Amino acid sequence: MSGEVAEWAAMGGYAGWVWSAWGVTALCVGALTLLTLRRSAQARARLAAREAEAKQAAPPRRDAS
Amino acid sequence: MWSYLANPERFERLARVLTPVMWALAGVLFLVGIPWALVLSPPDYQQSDTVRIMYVHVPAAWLAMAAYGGMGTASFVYFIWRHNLADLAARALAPAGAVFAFLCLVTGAIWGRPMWGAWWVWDARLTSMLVLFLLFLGYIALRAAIEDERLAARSGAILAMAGLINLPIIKFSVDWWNTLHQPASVFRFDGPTIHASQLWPLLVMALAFTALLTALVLTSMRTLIAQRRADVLLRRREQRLEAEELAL
Repeated sequence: MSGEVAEWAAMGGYAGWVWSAWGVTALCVGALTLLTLRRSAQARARLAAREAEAKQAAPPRRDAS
Repeated sequence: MWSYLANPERFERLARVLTPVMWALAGVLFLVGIPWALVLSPPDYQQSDTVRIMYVHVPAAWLAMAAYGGMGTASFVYFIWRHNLADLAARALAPAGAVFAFLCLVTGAIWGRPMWGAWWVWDARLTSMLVLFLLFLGYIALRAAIEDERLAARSGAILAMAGLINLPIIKFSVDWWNTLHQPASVFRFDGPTIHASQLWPLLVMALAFTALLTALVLTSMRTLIAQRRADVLLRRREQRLEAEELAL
């Protein structure tokens, strides 16, 4: 069983080439996905904060007089 | 269709549903495509297991070209009709396109070393793909360098449209010039010449990359819209505070 897995992982002697190509793809696609999702979450949080602020300020503040 | 989607609220309603669907679809397709490509598909009779690099190299190339095609088209729509959403789409496509073009070049080099004996050759296909990568970088740099948003959008659109000429050059480079890169084996007039046992996992991986690109672009477009709205609210708040100060 483990022999089969090892044989598969060896990729017919091209393990270094195959795994590095797939590895760099996984790394770049993963990083792009994480960065995109993080920026989306940040932008949404910032917008939500601004919207809450705007709602609060909507009635003119009394202490301004 | 353009004017239908040009309404940001309509876009938001559509994107709110479509974005999670595309993320989920990409996940499912990768769950099927990765084991198919790495385990179930047979090694090539000439290239042995290095052919498994194809399952990331070819989709990356296709999607880089599709991203550029989308960016050029969106830029054209923005340039003629001034639809802001088209500009946002072009902006959202650029980083993803750059990553796919980069992956195509890197995985190609990793495949080329054991099969051709060279990491890189200055051949028409490889060079035109490098130009595509540089076009993405140039577009991102140009947009980042110009502060005035409208001017940045217009200059970016002109650059993106001019670069469209590179797409047919990439596609037909293997026919027009003598090249080390193999000719097309999937999109041919006489049908694919690649065996079904390799074509199917390739198509599933390509679909997975397509769903991923769509999800990334929709998410980025919504990020840009949220940022723009937050900026408008911030400006309004500043104006209100100024007005209050004057009233005192």
